[in-house]
Amino acid sequence: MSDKKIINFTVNKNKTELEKYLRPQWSKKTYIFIIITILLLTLVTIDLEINFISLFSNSLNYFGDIFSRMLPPDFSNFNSLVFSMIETIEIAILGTFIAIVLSIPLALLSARNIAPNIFIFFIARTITIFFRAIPEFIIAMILVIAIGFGAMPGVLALGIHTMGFLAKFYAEDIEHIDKGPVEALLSSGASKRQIISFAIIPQIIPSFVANNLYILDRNIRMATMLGIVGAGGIGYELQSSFRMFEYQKVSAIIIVIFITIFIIDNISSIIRSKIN
Amino acid sequence: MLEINNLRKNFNNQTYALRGVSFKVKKGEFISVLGPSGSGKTTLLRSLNGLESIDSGEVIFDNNKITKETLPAVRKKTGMIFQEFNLVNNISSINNVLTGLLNSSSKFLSMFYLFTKEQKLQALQALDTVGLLDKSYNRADELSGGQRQRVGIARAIIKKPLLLLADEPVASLDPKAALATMKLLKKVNKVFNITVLCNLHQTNLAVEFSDRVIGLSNGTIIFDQEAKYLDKNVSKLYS
Repeated sequence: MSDKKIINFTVNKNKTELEKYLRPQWSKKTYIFIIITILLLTLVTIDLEINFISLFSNSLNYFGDIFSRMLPPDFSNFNSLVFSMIETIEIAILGTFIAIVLSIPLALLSARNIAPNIFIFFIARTITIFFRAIPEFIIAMILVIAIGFGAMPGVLALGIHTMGFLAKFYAEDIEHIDKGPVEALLSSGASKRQIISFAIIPQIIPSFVANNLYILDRNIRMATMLGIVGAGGIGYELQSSFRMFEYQKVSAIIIVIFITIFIIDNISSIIRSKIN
Repeated sequence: MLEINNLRKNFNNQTYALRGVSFKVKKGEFISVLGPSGSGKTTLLRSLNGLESIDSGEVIFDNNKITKETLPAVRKKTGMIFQEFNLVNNISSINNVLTGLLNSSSKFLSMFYLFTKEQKLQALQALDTVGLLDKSYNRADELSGGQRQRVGIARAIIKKPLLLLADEPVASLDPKAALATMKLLKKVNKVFNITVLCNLHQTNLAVEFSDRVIGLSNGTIIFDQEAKYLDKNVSKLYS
């Protein structure tokens, strides 16, 4: 093919013609969105009677006061702190395990594309929403009243609450799988259960592991607080130090929690990168 | 204009992608690089704008050796298009094309998608060149494959580069769109005098559109000749 034939010298438009095609970079929608957001935030702030200016002018003294009383951190009961931190991690591990075990069947039933029927789908989804809606604190408070102080209510509260989370995560992953392999197995006459174990589960394993690690990470953070309502772990120490006005012990506990979370966070990101 | 001397690259210390590749490119040439998958074509192209580091050898572009220090200047003068187009799917075509100007835009304003009127006119002109002026404000994912690749070309040529690198630009397109894309590359090559270095799988397209064809196999050049005398050597490439 000769060059002449190839090059179709379209008469390109000149500048004035091109200017007709100019449009503002930000659309009307963007401006409306920004205005509504600012308006909403202003109204909410007024309604809550929050005054950010007085926060920075008057309250700074109080911040300074509480910080000075928290320093230096008092590690005199370091051994018992480590002991309750370990208890906290154990509560989180057991709670996460319960959540995983319970959430797998729940996820299979509440994924739109593989639920046996719409009725079961609806019930399963309602269960997941219900347990996600109630904070683990409230579940733990109820369980403390029902079965008494200790690790048990903490474990169950975390397990039940995060079961709702995990079931939602897994179900969404199942709904967003690549349908190609499913069709291939369907065309070769595989049954629904065979399709689940060969075409669906392998696809969601990487995010299954990542979600579980995320929930474990989250549960360790939440377990540090559960002791406040009497459900075991380092939160109990935190609350009793607050009650006794031992702010230097409070800061020591915060440091122990921070270091633990820091280590856990790094371990889980290493594991996650190994999986992918 | 472009001189490549004894380029070597291996991955993981065992698989050799390039084993001493050398050639020169004159301004305004349209060169196709043919070769089977795994022959090193993509690595070769990507090493020319620093997307891939090289182990040894040198690349001299526009009288400057490509190093870490000269790389920003090199990237200002080169454009690249990709097999999978690599557009940002949920922003408009014109914003995709404007990303080609980011290295000469205000760092602050461009963060908020704000560009000068002059730059926007340049983008519209680039879209006009590829025949997509009417689709300027359509999101990239509303376009067909061929149209997406044309937006990709507009993005690459908006800064009037000296060199256009095309990494298998038609491998994801149907034959008709592939032909149109190659014609457009040829047009860009002739009208703007932009040198084109294009990786291809299709021998017929290479013969039809390029001035020169380089055959790459197993990381080495096995032929480098004018497109019209190609016939005999091609079978060597895929054997």
